[in-house]
Order: sequence, then structure tokens, then C-alpha cells
Amino acid sequence: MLRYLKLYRSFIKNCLIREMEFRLNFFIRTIIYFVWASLAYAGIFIIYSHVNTIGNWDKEEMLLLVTVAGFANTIHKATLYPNVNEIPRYIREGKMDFVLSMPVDARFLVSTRYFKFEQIPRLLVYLLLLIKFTFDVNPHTNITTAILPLILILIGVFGMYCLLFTISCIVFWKPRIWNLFAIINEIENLADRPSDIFRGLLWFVVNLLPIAAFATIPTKFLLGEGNINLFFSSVLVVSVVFILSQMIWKWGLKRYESASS
Amino acid sequence: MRKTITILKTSLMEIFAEKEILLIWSLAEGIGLISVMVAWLASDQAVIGGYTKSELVSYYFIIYLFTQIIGWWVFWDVREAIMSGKLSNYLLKPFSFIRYLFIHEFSYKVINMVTNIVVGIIIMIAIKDYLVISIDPATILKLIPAILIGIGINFLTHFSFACVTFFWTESHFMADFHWIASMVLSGSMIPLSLFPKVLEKIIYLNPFRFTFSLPAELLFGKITGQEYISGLLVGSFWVLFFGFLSLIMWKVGLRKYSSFGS
Repeated sequence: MLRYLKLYRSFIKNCLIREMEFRLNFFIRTIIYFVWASLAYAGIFIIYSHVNTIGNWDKEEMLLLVTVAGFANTIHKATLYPNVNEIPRYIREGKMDFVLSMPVDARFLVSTRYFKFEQIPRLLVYLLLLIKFTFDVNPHTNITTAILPLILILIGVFGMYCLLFTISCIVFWKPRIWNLFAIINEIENLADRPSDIFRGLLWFVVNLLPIAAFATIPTKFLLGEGNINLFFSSVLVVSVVFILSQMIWKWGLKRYESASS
Repeated sequence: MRKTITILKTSLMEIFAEKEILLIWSLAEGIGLISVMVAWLASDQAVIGGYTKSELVSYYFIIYLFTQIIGWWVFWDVREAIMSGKLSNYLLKPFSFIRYLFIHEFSYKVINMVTNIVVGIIIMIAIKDYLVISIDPATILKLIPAILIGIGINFLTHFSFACVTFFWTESHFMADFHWIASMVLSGSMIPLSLFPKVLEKIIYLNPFRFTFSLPAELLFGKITGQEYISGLLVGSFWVLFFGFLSLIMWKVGLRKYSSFGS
């Protein structure tokens, strides 16, 4: 365990050095992230100037939901997403050979190699907004009541990572597909919307895949509407997706043929 | 003409080999589309910004279709050609790079149409109770120039933005800026009639409105005949403007362009 922590620390250090080499890039990318984030809020203000609620969610609750989704998304984009996004390239270009020959767990290596420091400013802004909007809708929030939603956000991020990891493994069977990130991004965007507005088949998709666990369930806890069933449903769904992702990863690895040799 | 047919054949074969990739793009757009529709249907108002809920669902479906027809996005092709030095190969060929690009993108749209029909039919079945589109021959005739203007603006804005690569290698940010502006100002994210009245003039005169919003407004009967004519005139102005800008960027850029070993 300690060895893996040391390895992760050295990956982070390496990424920091790399990102500092391209400071202008870092700066402009940060601006673009802020513009994207502002658009989500502008959209809510425009929509709610015409409607009162969307599926029983009023403007303040929706602002909190979008902030939770943004916060979770930023954690994901800083830590696990850039790695999952690279998996198709590893397989297509035969770089998986290198990964498999290392004396560490291959899934750990492909999931932790990159860390995006460019997400840190956005994360801090989302954290401040999260505190503001939480107190707007639930003034009685304190450290104790905020811990559980924060844990749920981390569980949701891990669940989303497992889902995207599973989708990325499609490349073991279809190595020519390089644009799976498009599906991945759209699935993440689904989390910006309250999971209870979906009906029928879509309700099952959103709740059985960890999309509701990503933002809606932690938001319900911040609103004071959480309960033990919701908590365990989140943990259960994420656990199932993790086991599934591990099975598909192992299955895919058996199928893997190096593209470089 | 023979050159055009040869480029068309080659491009069609190249793009057909990537049919799985096209299907992924279509699926991704389909997921995004459904989630937006569900959100609007869950709202508590019957009429929003002049659109009923059914009209809003239909509006997003139409925008999806128009994106497939009008969305001629060539930024990455131009950028890649300049960055990799492959542009030199095109410059030596007996046809212009812009002509190649146009035909290549056309071929992409043709092949992409097949995957979009599959995804489009699935979406249509899912939203059949809400679809309220009635098209008469006169509207189809009116749509043609609006669609051509939309294609022109998309193609030329992308081309001129991509020519920034001649001067600045980190030009991929230009694609982000284009994407953000297009999403907000073309009516793809939210119908333009929902924007605050104070922004009306900027919103209705901006070039991106003439890509997707103008044809959609026409289809849903949200503009009068006079507004349609003035829309075509302003849209044509933007086509000429970005055509001129592309020409200048291309000529100045080529003078600066150099490639080695390719």
C-alpha cells in the first residue's frame, strides 16, 4: 500500500513539472473551464426566468445540484478521467505492453498516471460555491452534516470512474474506436440533471449506472433529504459497477494483442 | 470535374472505414439530446419563451438534425494539416486545399447521414408523442437558402479560426472558443427567444444565429416573412465577412507557413 502511495506521489510530482512547463496553456485552459462553468449557471438563470421548477427542483436547489455535479466532475477530471481517457490509446498503440510488464497492478497504473493541476483553480471556486449554495438552501448545515455528502461525492466520483473505465475497455474488442470520450462526456453531463426527472427505462439507466450517485444523491443529503436507503443504494450501485469493471478489464486483458509487435 | 469525383470517391472510402466512430458520435449526441428533452418536459410551465413543451422537444430534435446537415466543422482537419506539415502535400496537388476540404466534409456528411438516420429513428420513436413538426413545400424551399448560409458560416468560421494555427501552435483553444460561442449563440443550448430582452439585438444579429436558429425559427413559424428576408441578408453578410477573413488569414498564413521533411 505504501509503495503505491509513493508511486502516486511521484506521478503527481511529474505531472506538476510537466504542466508548469506550459504555463500559458495552463492559464488559457483555466479560463476556458471557468467560461464553461459560467455557462451552466447562466443557463439555469435563463431557464428559471421562465419556469418555477423542473421536476420539483426550484432554482436554488438546481444551483446546488449543478455545483455538486461541477465539484464532483472537477475531482474526476483532475484525478481519474485523464487516465481513463488514455486507455484506448494504450491499447491502440500497443503501449499496454509496457504497462503490463511493470511490477505494479496494471489497473492502478493506467488509472493514476496523470493528474491535472489545471483543475485546481476550478475546484477551489466550486468549493466556495458549494458552501454558499448549501447555506442558501440549508442554513443549519454544519461540519458533521456536510461530511456524509462529501463522502458520497467521492463514492460517486469513484463510481463514475468505474463506469467510464468499463466503457473504455470496449477498445479491447474494437481498437479502431478513438472517440469513446464523447459518450463518456455525455454520460457525465446527465449527472447535471436531477435523477428523479427521468422516467421508465431512463430512470433505471440513471439510477443503476452511478449517475444519480454522482450528484443527485449527495445533493439530497445537502438539502437534508437524505436517508440511509439512499446512502446504501449509492454504495451498492458503485460496488456492483466496480466489480463489473474489474471483470471486463480482466476479460479484455486476456484478449489484448500488442499493436506494436 | 474529374478531380472532384476522384476526391469524393477517396473521401467516401476513407470515411466509410470509420463508420463505427461516426456511430459513437451520433450516439453521444443522442444521449445529450434525450437528457435535455427530459429536463424541459419536467418543467412546471406549459409555454416557455413562446414554445409549448412539445414544440421545445421538437425544437431540440430539429436542432439535432440541422447539426448533422449544417454542422460543417473543419477546424481539426485544417489545424492537423498545418501542424503536421501535411498541408505541403495538398499545396503541391492540382486542386486547392479548400476544395479538398469542402468535398471531404461533404463526404463525411453523406456517410454520417446513415448513422444519424439510425439514431434519429430511435429518438423519434422515443419522442413520438411530442413531435409537432409540419413541413409544407414552401417552407422546404425557404429552408434551402437558410441551410446553405448556415453551412457557409460554420465552414468559414471554422476555417478562419483554424488558420490561427499558422501563427500560434496552441490554437486548439480557438476550437473551444468557437464551440462555446456556437453552443450559446446558435440556439443549440437554449432557444434564442428565452434570452433576456436586453440582449435581443446582440443575440439576433450574431453570426451563429444564422447557423441553426434561423432555420429552426422558420420551421416553427416563429419569424415573419420580412424577418426571414432580413435574416437571409444578414446571414449572407456574415458569409461574405468570414469568407473574406478566411481568405486574408489563409494568404498571410501561407506566407508564414513552413514545413520540414514532409
